[in-house]
Amino acid sequence: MEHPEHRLPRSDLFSKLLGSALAAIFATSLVGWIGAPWLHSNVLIPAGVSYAGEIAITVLLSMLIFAPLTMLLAWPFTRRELNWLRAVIAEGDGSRDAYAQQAAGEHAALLVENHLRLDEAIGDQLKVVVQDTDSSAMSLILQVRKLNDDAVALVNYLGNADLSAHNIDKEIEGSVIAIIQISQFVQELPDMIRGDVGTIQAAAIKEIDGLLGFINVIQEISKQTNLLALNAAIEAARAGDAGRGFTVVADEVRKLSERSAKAAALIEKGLAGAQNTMREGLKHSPIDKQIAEAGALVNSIRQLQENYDDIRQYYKTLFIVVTKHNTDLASEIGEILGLIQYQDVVRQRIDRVASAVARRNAILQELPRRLGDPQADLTELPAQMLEVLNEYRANEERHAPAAIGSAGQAGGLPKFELF
Amino acid sequence: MTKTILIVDDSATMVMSIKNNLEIAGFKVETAEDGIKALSKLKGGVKPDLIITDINMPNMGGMELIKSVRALPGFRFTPILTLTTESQAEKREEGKKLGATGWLVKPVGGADLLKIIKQVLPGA
Repeated sequence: MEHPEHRLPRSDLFSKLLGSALAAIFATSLVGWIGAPWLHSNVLIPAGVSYAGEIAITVLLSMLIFAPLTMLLAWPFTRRELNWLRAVIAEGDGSRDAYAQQAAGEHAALLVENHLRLDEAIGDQLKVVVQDTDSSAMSLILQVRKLNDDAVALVNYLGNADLSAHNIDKEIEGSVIAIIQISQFVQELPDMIRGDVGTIQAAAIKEIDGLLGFINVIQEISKQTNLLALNAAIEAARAGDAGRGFTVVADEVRKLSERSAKAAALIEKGLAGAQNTMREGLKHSPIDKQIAEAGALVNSIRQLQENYDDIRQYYKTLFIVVTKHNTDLASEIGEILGLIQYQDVVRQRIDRVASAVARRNAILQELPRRLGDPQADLTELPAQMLEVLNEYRANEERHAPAAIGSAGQAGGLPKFELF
Repeated sequence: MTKTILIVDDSATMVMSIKNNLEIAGFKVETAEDGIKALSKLKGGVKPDLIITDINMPNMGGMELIKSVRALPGFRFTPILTLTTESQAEKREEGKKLGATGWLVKPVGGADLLKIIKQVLPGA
């Protein structure tokens, strides 16, 4: 099939020439409209040129302006057709193929130029993508690092708090032991008091009983003294005047006996009252109540200690859990940082694509040059392109990366190998 | 004692990624963006316990760096791990012959990297 460029586009040439001629007529008329009166008044009349001569000169001048102006206007638009005409004139009919080839070369050059511009635009965009991913990856790394720092700060804080809590724990433990000892003492105190009071009571009662025995002796002595005084009075009465003084003594002894008996009775009553008061006093003592209160106090302290132990245990568990989560977090952050390395992997892939595209474009740029040259050889260009393709594929094969966790394989070889 | 690791890579993203991972794990990290700068650091007194290097870098690549490091006094037995997208057996063999300790293909997960480092740095 004949290529369209092998035919001269005559309709195009005609329309371009017609357009140029019309533009030239318009320009010539404009020049004539302005210039003819001036020429008539300043040149032709003073020169004495006849009317016929004036017309001839005017027409001649118009033609001299119109023809070059038409060519001048037509040149930029009809260059390709004129080249064709020139080729035909210079080399005859055989040059049509040469012209067609040149024209094809020019079109191919235009095509390649546009293709390169497209590639450049895509390349620029890919660079932006790489920059964006690079920037995002760096931000991500910084954020992840900050996350880790915050987590570490939290664990450090908890560690310090744990240390403080440990010290407080020791202090509280010491205090609790002291409180328990006190509470045990308080608990035992009523029993001790009760025992002491019982002992004192028994001793007092015993002493009182002993005193009561003395009272009996006193009362017996008083009775005997009274009898003695009575006998003495009888004997004094028998003695008459001689016994009168003795009667007085006997009387005084009898009175003394009576007062002793009264005193003994009062003492006995008092001791009995004291004994009774002591027995009754113990019965109504608040010791039992105090024992109950001491027991409740001990229970409260134990409850407090148990609560504290629960809190301490909860706190320790919390610390262990947070530390465990922090360790997991550090591990996950490490994995995230590993995944970020994909940005570099992708960047290198794009670089390799860009390199292959540059080589391909160099071949494509060679194409229009050779198309425009009838002597040039086109046959090696496909081979060169194939070479670019094969090398690109081989390069990709060489760099074939494995995804994280892809069974540790990269291009059929282990991802990690120690020599 | 804190171990020091030198990371050599022309990708800032890679460097930051590995640096942060290792710092979180408790390592001290030095960085260089190509082989020449890495060598300059080593000659300047930096004495890493481990070097992790990329292969394809401008100015001086990883292979040349390994060769140069092995020629430096005091670095004959310093472990050198390559971290690259290259995975071909020929390249690995070349790295091994030049004195690389191991070959890692990007990307490497954080836990995997630490596991490997502990293998080449016992006690780390």
